[in-house]
Amino acid sequence: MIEPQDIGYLLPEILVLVTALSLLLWAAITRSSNHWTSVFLAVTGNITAFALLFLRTPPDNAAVQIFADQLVVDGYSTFFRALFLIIASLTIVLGAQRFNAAPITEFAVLIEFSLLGMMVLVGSIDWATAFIAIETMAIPVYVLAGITRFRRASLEAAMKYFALGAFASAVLVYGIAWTYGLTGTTNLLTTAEVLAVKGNEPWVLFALALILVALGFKVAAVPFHAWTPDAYQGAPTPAAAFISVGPKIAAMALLARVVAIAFEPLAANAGFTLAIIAAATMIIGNLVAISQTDLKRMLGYSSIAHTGYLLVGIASISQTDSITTFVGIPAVLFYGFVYAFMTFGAFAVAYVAETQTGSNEISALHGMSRRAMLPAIAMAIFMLSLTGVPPLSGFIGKLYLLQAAVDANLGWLAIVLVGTSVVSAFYYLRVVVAMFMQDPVAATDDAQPTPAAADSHVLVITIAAGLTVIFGIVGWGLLDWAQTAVSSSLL
Amino acid sequence: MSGMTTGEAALNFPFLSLGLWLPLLVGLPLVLLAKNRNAIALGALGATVLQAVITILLTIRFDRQASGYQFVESADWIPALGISYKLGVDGISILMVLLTGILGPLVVGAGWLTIHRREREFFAALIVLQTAMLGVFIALDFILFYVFWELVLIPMYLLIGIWGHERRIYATIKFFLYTFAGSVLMLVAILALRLYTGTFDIEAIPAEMADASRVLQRWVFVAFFFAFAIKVPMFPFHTWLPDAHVEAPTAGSMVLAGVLLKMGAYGFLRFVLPMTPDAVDETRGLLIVLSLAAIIYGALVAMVQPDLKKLVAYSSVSHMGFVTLGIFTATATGLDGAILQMLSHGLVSPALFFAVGVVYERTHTRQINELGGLASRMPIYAAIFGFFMLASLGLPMLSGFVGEFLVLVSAFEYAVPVGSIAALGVILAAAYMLWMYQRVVLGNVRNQAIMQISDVGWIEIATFIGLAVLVVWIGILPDTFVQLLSTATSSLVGQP
Repeated sequence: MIEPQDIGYLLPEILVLVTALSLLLWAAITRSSNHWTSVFLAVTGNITAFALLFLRTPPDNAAVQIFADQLVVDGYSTFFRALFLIIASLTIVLGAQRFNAAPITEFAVLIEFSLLGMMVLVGSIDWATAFIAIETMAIPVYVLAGITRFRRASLEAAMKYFALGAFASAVLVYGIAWTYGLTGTTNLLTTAEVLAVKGNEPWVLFALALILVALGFKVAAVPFHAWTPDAYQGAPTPAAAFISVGPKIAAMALLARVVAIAFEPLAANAGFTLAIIAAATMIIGNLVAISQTDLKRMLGYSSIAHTGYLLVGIASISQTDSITTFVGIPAVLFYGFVYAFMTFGAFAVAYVAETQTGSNEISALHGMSRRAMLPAIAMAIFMLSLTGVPPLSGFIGKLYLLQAAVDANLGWLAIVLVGTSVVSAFYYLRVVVAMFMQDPVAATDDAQPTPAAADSHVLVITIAAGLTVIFGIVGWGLLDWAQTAVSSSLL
Repeated sequence: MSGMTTGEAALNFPFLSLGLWLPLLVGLPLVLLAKNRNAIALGALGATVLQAVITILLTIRFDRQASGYQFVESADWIPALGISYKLGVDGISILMVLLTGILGPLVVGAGWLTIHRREREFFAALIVLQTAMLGVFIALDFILFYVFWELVLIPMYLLIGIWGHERRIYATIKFFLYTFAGSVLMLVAILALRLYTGTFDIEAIPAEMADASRVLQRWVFVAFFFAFAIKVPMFPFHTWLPDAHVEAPTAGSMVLAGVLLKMGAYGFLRFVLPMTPDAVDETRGLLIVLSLAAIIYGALVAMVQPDLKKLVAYSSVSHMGFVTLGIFTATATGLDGAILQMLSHGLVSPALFFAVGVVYERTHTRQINELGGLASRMPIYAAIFGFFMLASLGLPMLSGFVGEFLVLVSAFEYAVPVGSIAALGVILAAAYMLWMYQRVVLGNVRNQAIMQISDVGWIEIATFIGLAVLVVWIGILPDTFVQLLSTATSSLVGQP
């Protein structure tokens, strides 16, 4: 049954939808080129939604199921929804200046619709809702990848992303159909109840495998990762920044819920499979990243590697007895949160470099510390944090994941994690070397003077870098939040 | 009663936090806001002098008789993961704390003389480095220790990579990857220890590990061994060191040789000996052979180096071999000798690198065959260089002798062949050092460029004298320092 108060819990999502629709209307009515109004409208909507998120929480931190058990409002979904609102706002601000791909209003509308899908997705506890949310999240993102219509690379990126995304969705539906056929329910909680009785029959494992494959595509896990570097490289950089963070973490959140709730009786099988996938993803992602010369492509492989790190947290569910005491899921929350800012910030700096030099090659970063000191320092922070060097937040995140793996008797996975982190130092450091230690290519006489970094870009980068440092040094706040979010949620 | 309260209040005063953070909080704003080069350097100098004074006060107030940690501070840091902010010093770390503090201003002085571009970033990196290094020696929480341990890498990586010489980028990446690879393995070992003992508290873990299984000890030992052996560096993990030293700017080489190498030896003393004693027993033979190999190999390679800076770098490998030899013979004498040798090498090798830098600044070459006859143009310099050269080769009454002598005593007690081979290293050191001195400082001027150079200036002399005073002090009155550490070393090896 749908109760009237259910609407109250959904106010943030409703507000995001209203914002998206008003932006559409605004674009149709004014056709104006004053993009700051759209940016202001979108960001204000998101900030208000952010506030509503915390004003309207279930009593006693409980998990409340709403809309006939389609959705759940719990700490887990609130944690991710807050993250997505911040990231979406930063993306829109990042796209506001020097974005000559399309009117910023269109860009903002697409981001807002995708945001809506992600917010619903992390609260879904029913396959039907989850699927609709995934598509709501993904379709605007396909368009975003191809929004620079006049660039072949962008169209190619959109085409690849769309084709593989659609394929993954088809596999997901197939998996959902099998699960429904075997259990007679689309609800994640009831699925678990039925599977607890059924045990791990071959066909149940088959359904689980299909769902893991489909979500593996969405989070870009090896061997379903091939679309990622192409999509990131071809997509306009602000869009790539969003794609590398938002949809990936949303899909990761769903994956954790699916493994922890619906297939909980099969957690051992799922955990083992995920451990193998995690190891392969960390190894392939990091190794291939080394040979990249394009910054965005390198960040693409880096994001694949980070999928691997995050999967370590989910894989460590399998070996632990009590759902509330394990550290794997809070580790995923924490790392997802800090990963978002590190990677988003890195793409933002790549965007600054692109507006300055017109190139995404790593060699174009040479001497950047003199052209744009603040973005260069921020990039060094992002790179070192992605490597996992203390005292930055990426270190605390990796520490947390390692602890989860060691506690779960997955010592070998922990070794793979630290080993591949060392490998990653190699390509992350190259960026720092290029910016700080190598001289810029000598300018020719007729060359245009390099434009300074746009103020809004510097603002976004500073926020991301600040959070990356702060969550490293005073990480306990975010850690506590991640732990409360998990302990007070339907997992 | 009231007197006692004051004493207790003084004991509870967070001296360590003050020494750790005050230079950073004072120095970084000064350096970042200063307008010109001299103001920047003075800001950094002020911050490091402050730190040096605090570490000297700590050493004076350190209770020689008491066992266990002193000046302990403890607070929660990340309670969700059981990580705390815990600091303290004991006899093993107090001399390293002192060394870190004293070297700070001298390194800043060297930077002031030799760095002529991007000074702001340079001194900022040095100040962060000073804080991180001190943190390594006083952290009593394993994760806090690890944070400082890794934090040392970043400024050092920048120092070599930005202000280094021709092949700096190769050297700095090699340096980073080697040490990072070693230390992340240590992180897994730290988590495994935590899984077994339930704590990150460095003070509590040795007791908890008393009845740990051999298997756990072996794994933890292997991970620790790689981390620390790379850092020391022990043979055959030393290949990053000559590259890093040669490419680093003078000030960077001084910190690297002075303090960074000691972090590895400190790790062996602080963690490996007390936490995995059985694993050390099992591998003692190998560890001693590796130490001997470092002593002899380092000395032989130093002998044939055409590059002055590389010669000093390989002499470091040889001298650190004495340190690990002293540690792994694991007698109280051996440990005392190892720590004194750490302190002595921490003073002498920065002085030698500085001496190399002084020549390089003037002649722009480090090739021994392009130098020669420096004494005729730089008599004061020749005397100073000669002094530190003699200290390095272990002349009695200077610091190098005491540490090496104690280590040799312990080595002969362990086995006569071991002692004999190590003693051979002392002879080799005399050979390559004297030969080098003869070719570089004595003889006739072969290079016309040398005819124009001037002798050392007052900042340079002050830097040298600061180091020389301690070198003589340790040489003549080693007991001042042995008293500080003997309680800790004898309890570490379980001897009264």
